[in-house]
Amino acid sequence: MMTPKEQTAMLLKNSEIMIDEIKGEGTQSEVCAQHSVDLSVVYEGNDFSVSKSNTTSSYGIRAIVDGKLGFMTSNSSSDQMLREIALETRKLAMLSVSSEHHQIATAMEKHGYSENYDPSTEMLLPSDLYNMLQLMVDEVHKEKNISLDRAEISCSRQYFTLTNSNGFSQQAAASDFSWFAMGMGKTKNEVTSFDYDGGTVRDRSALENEIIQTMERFRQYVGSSLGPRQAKDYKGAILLHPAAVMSILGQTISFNANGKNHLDGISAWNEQMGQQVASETLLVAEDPLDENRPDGWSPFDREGVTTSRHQIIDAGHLNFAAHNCFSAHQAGIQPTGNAAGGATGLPQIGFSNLKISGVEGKALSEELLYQKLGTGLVLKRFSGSCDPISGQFSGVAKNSWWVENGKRSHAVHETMVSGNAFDVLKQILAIGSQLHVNLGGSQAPYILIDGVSVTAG
Amino acid sequence: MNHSIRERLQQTLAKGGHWTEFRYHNRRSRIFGVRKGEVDEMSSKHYEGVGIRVLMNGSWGFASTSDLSIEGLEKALADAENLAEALSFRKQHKSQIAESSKLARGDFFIEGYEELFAMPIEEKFDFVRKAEEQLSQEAEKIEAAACRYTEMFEDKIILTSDGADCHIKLARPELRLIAFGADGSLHSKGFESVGGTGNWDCMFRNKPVEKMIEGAASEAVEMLNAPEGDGGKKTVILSPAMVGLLSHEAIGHTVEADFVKSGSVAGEKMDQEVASSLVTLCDSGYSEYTEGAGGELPVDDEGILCQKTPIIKDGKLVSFLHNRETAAEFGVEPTGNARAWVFSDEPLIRMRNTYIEPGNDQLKNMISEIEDGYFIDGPGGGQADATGEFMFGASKVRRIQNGKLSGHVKELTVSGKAFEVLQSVDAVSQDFRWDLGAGYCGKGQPAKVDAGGPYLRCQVLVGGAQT
Repeated sequence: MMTPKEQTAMLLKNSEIMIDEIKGEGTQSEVCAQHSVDLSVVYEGNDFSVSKSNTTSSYGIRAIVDGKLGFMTSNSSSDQMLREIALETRKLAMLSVSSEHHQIATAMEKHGYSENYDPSTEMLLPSDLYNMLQLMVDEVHKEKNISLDRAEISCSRQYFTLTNSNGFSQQAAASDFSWFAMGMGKTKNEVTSFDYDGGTVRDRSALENEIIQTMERFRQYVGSSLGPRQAKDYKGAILLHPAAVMSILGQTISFNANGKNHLDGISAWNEQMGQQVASETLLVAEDPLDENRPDGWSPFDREGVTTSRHQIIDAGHLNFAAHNCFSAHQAGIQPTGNAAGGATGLPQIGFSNLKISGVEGKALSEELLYQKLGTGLVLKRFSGSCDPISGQFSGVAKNSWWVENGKRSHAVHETMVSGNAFDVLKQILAIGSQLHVNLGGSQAPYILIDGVSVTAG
Repeated sequence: MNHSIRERLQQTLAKGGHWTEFRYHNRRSRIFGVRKGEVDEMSSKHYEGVGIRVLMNGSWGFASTSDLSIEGLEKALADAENLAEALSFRKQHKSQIAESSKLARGDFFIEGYEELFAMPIEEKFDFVRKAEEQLSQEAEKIEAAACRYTEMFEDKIILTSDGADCHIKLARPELRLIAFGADGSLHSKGFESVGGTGNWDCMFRNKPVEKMIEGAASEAVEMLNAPEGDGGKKTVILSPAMVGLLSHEAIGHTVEADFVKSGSVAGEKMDQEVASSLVTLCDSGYSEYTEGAGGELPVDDEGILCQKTPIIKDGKLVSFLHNRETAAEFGVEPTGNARAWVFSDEPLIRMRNTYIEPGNDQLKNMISEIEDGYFIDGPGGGQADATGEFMFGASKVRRIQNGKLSGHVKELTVSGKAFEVLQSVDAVSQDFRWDLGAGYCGKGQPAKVDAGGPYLRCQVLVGGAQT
């Protein structure tokens, strides 16, 4: 078995073959390469279902010929195919139209090899993973009224390289365990909406505890969805569960802090840098270097630019807009390390390990948030649509519950919520002090917002 | 190339001692995109590999490989067998597969593949550039426009140890247009999309590109100042696209047999009246009524010939959707619904083209009989769950007042319990349209599907403003 460094060296060698094939005047090129080794097992229909293994390599080459863009990706690793792909990419670029903004990254001060890797994953046996899945199932079934629709656990080892014709390269190796359970409450007379939960960790030693914690949380949420009653129609405050915070606010913030959307004039926060876009109690940051969130860990971005932590919203004020090489060139600034994606597509713009929180000293305990809500809805899972351009959101409150006089009263059914995300960002009434991790990635607290229409069925 | 791969697959398959399925998948796709005058996609993708599934001692093992040599295939087969054997010690109920008289043998090539592949790239790219330019100039309040064209060329060979041996080729083109509106601090978007199975022209079976441009631009402009709709239970007319979404999200998912096994609300309703007698709802591998539906599929990924599967007939639930494993468990024929997205995915139960059959009513009469309601079109995302409760977003919504269509309202979400909504259907129009061909269904893996139907009048819960 090759070591992580040997794996990335092999990817680099193949990437260089592609770059060499089309080097020449007026041609810039970049190759993003990935190799992954995955083992997973699925539980479905109340039984172990299938066990899967997958090993795959992908190469994505971007060629810019006299400002014209072409991109091609393939899972072939043969020398001949890699050369053919490089030539085809150049041909494709020749058919395009030129733009001065198509750029690849220039040499980085910091580049080389990074690792967020647990070597013990190399020794993992299928039976080790089956044991962990059995643990998940046992934890869920401590509540007898849960039907587990699907549970899955996987172990993944990934190797990435990014190299370009400007003469630099970045390499990284990462491993993680990720797991996921989806199910619903079920009794003789009732089936609830499905809910899901899961997590991601790097270290095998941390896996068991994390599984127990997340499955206990899943069990409690699903179990307490049983016996739903009708909510009431009103317009006013609702308490967003951290999962709903990410669905409604996280998505709106990500879109509107995207530098390309500013340049194209389609972001509502265009020309609002430094201005207040949310309550002064709100903080939003990203941290791609957080090793404890392996899913979003990335020491360099999709174009090889070194990443760093960014404060996107600081005390309610827009503080940062994300750029890749294209949008940075268009804006006349340096790229920010936010080129997103992998070897199978062109670089987009995105954030890693988003963290939404409250200004220190102003965040409240969850008990106080309930008291501040008084009587109203706690939105757990938002099943709906949120348009980040207009800010309009509308959807169904799933696995959600009603609070009466500051205390949890009952689960609700057929309840819809609607409002405008830009308005509610400014109408934040209070933010929770405890951060919750969503599926091993982003983090958010409970947030009490105002101005939402609640319609009970 | 394919001939030699087929021989290698056959040679390796002969070495397996258990029920084994080999699925070779070669996908080529291209994307051309322009946004605000800049080319943001000029891409080509090529992925090729084999997924191998083994049923051993009542247990499934799956392995995939992009190494197409005999050695590579043999290693993947051994991996799948080892995983199946290891898992068999954990399995409580041994899986079986249904025998079928519908095992596919031969070539299944859907028309349009060669024609679309041969069409010059320059022509397609030029079309995208012009459409984006035209859309950006369609109205003063259009701040930016985007156009994206995607085409996928699928080439599969499926072999099973019990006799399926087939070669499938089909092409799926898609077009998306987005207009971004802006007026001071107000921002909006208008969206049109289409997708199909076949050649270039299949994308324009419902309307020409000029109409799509006009539709996207007018939606973006109208949404800038549209008022919010009122929330509550309302009588509505659902457009063919929304009927398709209802059929897919609200009913289709609840009748997937794997979901039924997990406790779907549909599980206890077989042979019961679950909808108005005006409703007949089907899922089909064919493009019923009109050609080019985006989910067309001649053979599924277990090598079963696809067919039309009536799910609700005249209001009565008559069938679930099956793969070979659930068909054996339920004691029925497989319905050809096992699908995998790429070679490294195992087949799951998925829909194809899902629709409600047209009825006898006239749309204008259906509208004229509504005193206060909505005309709902412009499907956004949709979801459903085990209870049959569904939600879907709608971006093109107009009020109906005193029997007449009036102004647009902002995008909203409609919801309800699937079977209750279908019970409330009191009119079904004579029209029929496939209208979700650019859509993908997500269930762990994507799947290319289509859906449609006539106009339908029913009662749903509308998520709108409260005072």
